Amino acid sequence: MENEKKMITLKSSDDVTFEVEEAVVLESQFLSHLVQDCPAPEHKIKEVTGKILSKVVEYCEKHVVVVVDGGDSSSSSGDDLKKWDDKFIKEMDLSTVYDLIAAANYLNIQALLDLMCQRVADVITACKDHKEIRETLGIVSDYTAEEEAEVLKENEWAFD
Amino acid sequence: MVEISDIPVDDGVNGGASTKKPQEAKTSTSLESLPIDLLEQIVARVPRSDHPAVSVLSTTFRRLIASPGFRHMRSQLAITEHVLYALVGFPPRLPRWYILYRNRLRRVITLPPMPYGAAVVTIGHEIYVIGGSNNERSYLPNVTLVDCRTHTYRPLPSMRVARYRAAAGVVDGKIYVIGGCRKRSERDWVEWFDPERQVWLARKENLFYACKEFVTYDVVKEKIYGLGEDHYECLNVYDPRECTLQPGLGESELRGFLHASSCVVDDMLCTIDVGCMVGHPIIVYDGEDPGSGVWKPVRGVYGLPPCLYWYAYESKMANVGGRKLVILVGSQSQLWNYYGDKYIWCVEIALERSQEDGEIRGRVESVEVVFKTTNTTPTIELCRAVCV
Repeated sequence: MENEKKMITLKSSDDVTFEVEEAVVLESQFLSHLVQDCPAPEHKIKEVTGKILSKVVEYCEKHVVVVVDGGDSSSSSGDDLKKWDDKFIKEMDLSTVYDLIAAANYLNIQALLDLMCQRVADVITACKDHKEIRETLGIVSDYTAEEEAEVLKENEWAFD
Repeated sequence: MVEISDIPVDDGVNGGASTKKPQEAKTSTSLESLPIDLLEQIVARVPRSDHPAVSVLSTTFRRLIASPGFRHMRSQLAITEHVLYALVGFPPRLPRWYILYRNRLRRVITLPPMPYGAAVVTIGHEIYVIGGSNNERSYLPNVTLVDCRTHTYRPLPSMRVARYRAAAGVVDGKIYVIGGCRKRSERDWVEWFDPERQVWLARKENLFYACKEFVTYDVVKEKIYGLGEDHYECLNVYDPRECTLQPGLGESELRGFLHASSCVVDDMLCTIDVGCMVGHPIIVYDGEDPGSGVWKPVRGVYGLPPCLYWYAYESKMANVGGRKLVILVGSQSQLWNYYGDKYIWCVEIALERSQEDGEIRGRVESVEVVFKTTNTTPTIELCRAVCV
């Protein structure tokens, strides 16, 4: 007695459409409210481009919670999922990661937001000093020489 | 078809900030273009030891790290890290705070010198430095609070009684301080600080067996164990809930083994058995063991530096997060000041209790030199872990 799976179409800001199962949409709190509140078959997400939305859909499809008989819910086994996540983030450049952070925040997908924020934090942690962080993340210092000296002094213990 | 952007967005949490910037498909997004609440989420996940480097990146990042919202975010994400701090002195100069960072003990220059013989406890990310002495004759009632997130300090209300080498411990959120008074007849032998109300309190207590000065102290199961200066005889166990002070567990096996280099890990009192009387260098007094009162060896601890045996009595221990034991030990006796290099070694040992037979096993995780000087021999006053 299987219900036919309900499909929902998501449309990105640049009019790329994605047809996904309702369960996939439910990974996003924002979209699940939306789907409940307005039963239209297609939803346009103006804030997210097709490139980023495809990543979001890819992630949600992988992470969608499967309710098996007996009511106990599980997704793909934890280890596999973690491996998949690792591969997912490693293939991405930082610019895409930032966009995904903004999209995950907007669509309210906590697990994706956590994963992406951790990714950037790991990149920062892997750098050996502030110069390398600036270089890697493309951050331009707006300190005057005096100000920078002051911050360095405050945190002297951390610099060789 | 629905235009999602036209629907009021329920994003009270994020203040809608992230929705303001439309994305441009062609240009690549930069980290700083993200709204501040998302930057906060990212940087909150960076370990404490990298916060200085992040602060130096730009004014935005410096403000972010210093903001209360940032700390709130870290506590929301339940990110806690244990960092080792040590009070190291170069007599006659007063001890200073050092932080163990990237395998080196580094002096925190923003913190002032601390008195000798202060009692020190930590609550979360804060260190309480209680009493002590600035020179041989003075006893201080002063209390200083050190904030390890910002490396700042401020004075707290003074104790009712000046104390030097008191014992201290945190039980039920209150800081109990025992002994260390100039006169044995002192009325407030025990007093306690309530961090919420910021007051010192005391009550009349009958403490016949109290030691005068303590060399080490820690809390096991809501009781404060303080080891007196004359260490073979004088162990005090103070129970703040019952207001009782027991004498040195007279006949128990705690006698004789315990010395200044000790700490509590997982309700076990750890110390170094210099003579390896039970066949292993690290021993624990196991509160969990029903046949109480027995020192047990920590098995599997190998590869310790020789100076740990030679200067065990001058070494200092701390429990750093969960079941990790950290020992700091000098490469020379602090009683002498030889020429040449002096080192401080740091040994990290993870302890594990076997579920089957209750045996305690230790795994040496690292042994390395964390400090080097050719000047005066350093004295390691104490070390403590804080949670930042």
